Amino acid sequence: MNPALGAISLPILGAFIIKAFPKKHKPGLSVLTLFATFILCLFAVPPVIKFKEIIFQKYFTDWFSLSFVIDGLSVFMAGVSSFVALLIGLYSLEYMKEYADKDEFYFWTLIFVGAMMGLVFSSNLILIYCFWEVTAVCSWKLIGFYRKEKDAKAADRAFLVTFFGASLMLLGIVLIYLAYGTLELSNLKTQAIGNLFAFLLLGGIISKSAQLPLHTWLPDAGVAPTPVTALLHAAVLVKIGVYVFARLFYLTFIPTPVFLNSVIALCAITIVVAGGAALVESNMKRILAYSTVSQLGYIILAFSLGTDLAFKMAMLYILAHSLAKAGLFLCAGIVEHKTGTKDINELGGLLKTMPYTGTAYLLCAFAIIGIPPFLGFWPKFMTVLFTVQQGHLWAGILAIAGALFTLFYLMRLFDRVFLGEVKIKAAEESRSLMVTVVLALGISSLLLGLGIKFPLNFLQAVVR
Amino acid sequence: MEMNLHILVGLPLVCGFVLFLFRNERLNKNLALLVLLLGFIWSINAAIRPAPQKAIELIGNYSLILGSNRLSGLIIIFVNLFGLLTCLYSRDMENKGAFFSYLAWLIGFSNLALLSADFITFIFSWGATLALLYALLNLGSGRSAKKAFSIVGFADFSLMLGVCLYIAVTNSAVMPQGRGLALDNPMAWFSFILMLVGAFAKAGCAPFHTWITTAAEDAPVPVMAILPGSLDKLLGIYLLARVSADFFVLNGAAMAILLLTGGLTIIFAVMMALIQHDLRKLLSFHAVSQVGYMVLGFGTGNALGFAGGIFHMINNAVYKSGLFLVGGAVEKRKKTFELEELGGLAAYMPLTFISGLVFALSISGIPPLNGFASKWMLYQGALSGMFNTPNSWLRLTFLFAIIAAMFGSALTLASFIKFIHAIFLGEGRAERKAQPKEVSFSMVFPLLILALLCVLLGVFPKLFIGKLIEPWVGQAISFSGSWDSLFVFIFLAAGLAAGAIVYFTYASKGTRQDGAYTGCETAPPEPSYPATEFYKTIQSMPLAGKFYGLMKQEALDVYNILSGILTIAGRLLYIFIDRLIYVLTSAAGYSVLGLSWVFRKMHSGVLDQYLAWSLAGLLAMFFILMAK
Repeated sequence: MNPALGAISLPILGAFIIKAFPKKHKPGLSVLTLFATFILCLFAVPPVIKFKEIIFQKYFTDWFSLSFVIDGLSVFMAGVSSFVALLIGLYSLEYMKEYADKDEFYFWTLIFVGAMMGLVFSSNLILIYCFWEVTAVCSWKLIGFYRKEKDAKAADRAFLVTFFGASLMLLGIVLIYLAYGTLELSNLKTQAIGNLFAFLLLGGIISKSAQLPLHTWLPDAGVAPTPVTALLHAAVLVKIGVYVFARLFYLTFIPTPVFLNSVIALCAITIVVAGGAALVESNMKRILAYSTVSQLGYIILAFSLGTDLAFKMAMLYILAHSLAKAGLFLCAGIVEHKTGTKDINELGGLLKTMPYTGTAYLLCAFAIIGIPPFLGFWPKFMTVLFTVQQGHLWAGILAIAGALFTLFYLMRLFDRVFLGEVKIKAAEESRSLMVTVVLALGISSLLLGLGIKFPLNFLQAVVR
Repeated sequence: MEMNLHILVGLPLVCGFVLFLFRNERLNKNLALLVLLLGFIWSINAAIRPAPQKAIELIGNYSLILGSNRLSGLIIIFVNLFGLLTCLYSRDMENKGAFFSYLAWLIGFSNLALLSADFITFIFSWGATLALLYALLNLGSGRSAKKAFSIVGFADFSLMLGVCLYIAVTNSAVMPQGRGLALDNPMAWFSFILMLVGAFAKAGCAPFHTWITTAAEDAPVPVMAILPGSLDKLLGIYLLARVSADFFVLNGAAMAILLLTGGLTIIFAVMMALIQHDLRKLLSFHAVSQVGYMVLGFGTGNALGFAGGIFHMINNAVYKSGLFLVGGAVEKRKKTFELEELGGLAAYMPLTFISGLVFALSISGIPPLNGFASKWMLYQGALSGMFNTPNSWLRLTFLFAIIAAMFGSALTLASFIKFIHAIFLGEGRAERKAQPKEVSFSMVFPLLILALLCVLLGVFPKLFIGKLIEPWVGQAISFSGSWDSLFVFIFLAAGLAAGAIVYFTYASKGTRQDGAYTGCETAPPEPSYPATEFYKTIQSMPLAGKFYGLMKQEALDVYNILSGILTIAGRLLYIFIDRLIYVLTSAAGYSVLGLSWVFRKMHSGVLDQYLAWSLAGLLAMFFILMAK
């Protein structure tokens, strides 16, 4: 069987099949499905190393077909997404225990993972668009998980903003079909793309990846349960826009310099604005969400530099950010779970009772800030280097300013939550699956950064 | 090079991991000691026989290149020596946490920074020492660790940007050795300033020094001795040396910047040191003040000044880490760092006292100790720089720097008279309660080694300079003043010996002590002068009083300035961009809702209204068709 098709269909089918099982087995089976999905993604790696790119198509018409591509980028994205999804699934076994309607959570999470797999392996613009909207629906259902009015409002806002962007993108897709006569990415390769088309597609990308000015839905989405925020709004869903940007504007079309330069400017501004906003906010999850907006700016910045090295560094950035930001959100989740608040002004001194969570937070924070020897350092430094080398001095300066903001807001969060006087007492940390998961995320950031040759060699092997 | 890499970098890093995983007290102490000893021995070998460069391909045409130069070879020896001595000293430390793993990692990454011959490896290992700086200071308190992390992190990011600019301009990531970039265009200047910030914050030069004085309040003594005391100085000044000698060619303006920063740092920090009550804070201000001398040395732009700067860096690391360790030994016995609570310890802790005295005289620049030897070179370098420059402004700057250095040296002596008097001489206040003993051998041994180094480096400076520093400067260093320290040392030693003979001949007989008798009354007790009151008068002087008042408010603390700027910038970005967009998108959403409200009102279900709409539509069509 084709591993890509397996990775797409397994979680989606699994979600429905698990519905039939008794209630107490559902969480375990869901996590097992996530694990199997991850393994299937790994099976796709050897063929990619051998052939670099595998395309297969069915029901071929000029505008729609079930066509999929397995190459370095898609396998990498699928592997990282399913791995982080697996870890977050493990975490939620403990986190979601007390919620009555947790079945719904697992159902939509599995659907989401399936749609994500579908999206990264798709090689047809309409197919990409379909999976794109499925993820939007999952996101909408999961943000409003708690069903309070505030949650529903945030869910609606997220859905509407991303839908607005997606409809711009759809318009772009239609225009592309009219202009080129096909929506197959393999047939569109190395075609020049006009600014109008490119900017319409970009509308969808920035709404999904929360770049200025369509970013406001992401901080609001923090009302969702923590595993949802970590999975969808930090590690995986927001990377969809980034992925499509790389797929369309680096691997397929040849965009104009005007377009690329405006994307670079947009990202540089996003990095700083979101960084500044994160320094002002006092809600843990909102701070981290703004941080995500800011970091996604670096990734798109790296992709828009349009060189092979910058492309690989952007992929490395995706890995680094997915691991560390998921870790940060999950740490915040543990704190919220134990104290019942997300407001950093009401918290303090938690390091005494929660030393492991605090340590994991620091490890992940260092990775996000980009302090060596953590993984986050390599792509951040190289991105700034390439940006400056290509003559975008201002973008480089703003990127460094953004890094400085990152340092200050993440340390401010740590200071308020873990240091100082104890304001709300938290129970002593015990052996817990949640703490293990966040520590694993932090330590993997450290080890991958020290052994940077390993991920780089992998990227060299899978990317042309 | 492979062996260098394995023994100097790989071994400490692996050892750190092992120690971190197995928190066994005895294993921790001994394994770390063994690895650091091996590293120290190997570092001497590596310095004597430099290995050829080795490149490890990273990605594309970027490689990690390892290879030591003459300067880094010299500094590596000292990095490993200080690591070893600190490790030995902290065997009896309480509440170690993961101290030994952090120490091993720190040494490993510092070695890597010194072994790197390209910018990427350098930035990587340099930044890693920041993470360890945070971890080590965190053993004391989280808040001061955060402050240090923020300031040095800021500097590291500016160094990063400076390096990126440098690579962009020169189109190569290999660190140049000599023949640097001329400071004749804005990009080069920008890169130079950014790299200077990186070096200054690491070394603790004003205005980026405040993390050191804050950390001094609660960090464990071995941490202070290894980080701001020695290692960060070595690394920071190493970078400064590379920046001013290899990466760039200094011009008049760049020299003026360095001279001014150096001079101001000396004066400002020594003024602050004068009024301190806490032993650690006093030492930390001197740690800042001494950096001024090194920066000044590089500002002279001549070989003598460069050599003096490097020599002073080594000397400072020796006596400054020694002083911190003396402070630790005192605290170990008396459980306090408050100078007011201490006194009269010379009788009980003679070895600590002697080494403390050597360090104190050394830092004050008393001949023939090492502090004098390097200051002597710095003065000469600055003087010859002053006489050789045609620019009168630059000459004035040189003059200012020389005066600042001299004045600072005098104030340092004044401050250390207070230090020695308050701790070791006079009568101790708490002394009656407990008679302290000398500290254990593992704590005293490093002190004695460092004190011996102070004397050796001071008496035979030419040997050291000739063998190790001249090759880096690339020319023989000629002194304009004549000074033979061996000669002076022999005379001083003879004088001391004679004094000792006299003392011991008479001390054995004992002395008679009488109470004072005046007329028919017993004399009032002799007034005592606690050392902490020595320089209180300056605080009430008109100009100095203002200065101290300003310092107390911490208004000029770069950390407060930095976080203030970032907070204000963040707030502005948040309100004027982020929230504005939020309001606009919400408005767009509500306008859609409003539109739908209008349409809803139109569909009221009343037949008349529908008829009216149809009629209106027909009319509209009619007019449009007519218009065509």
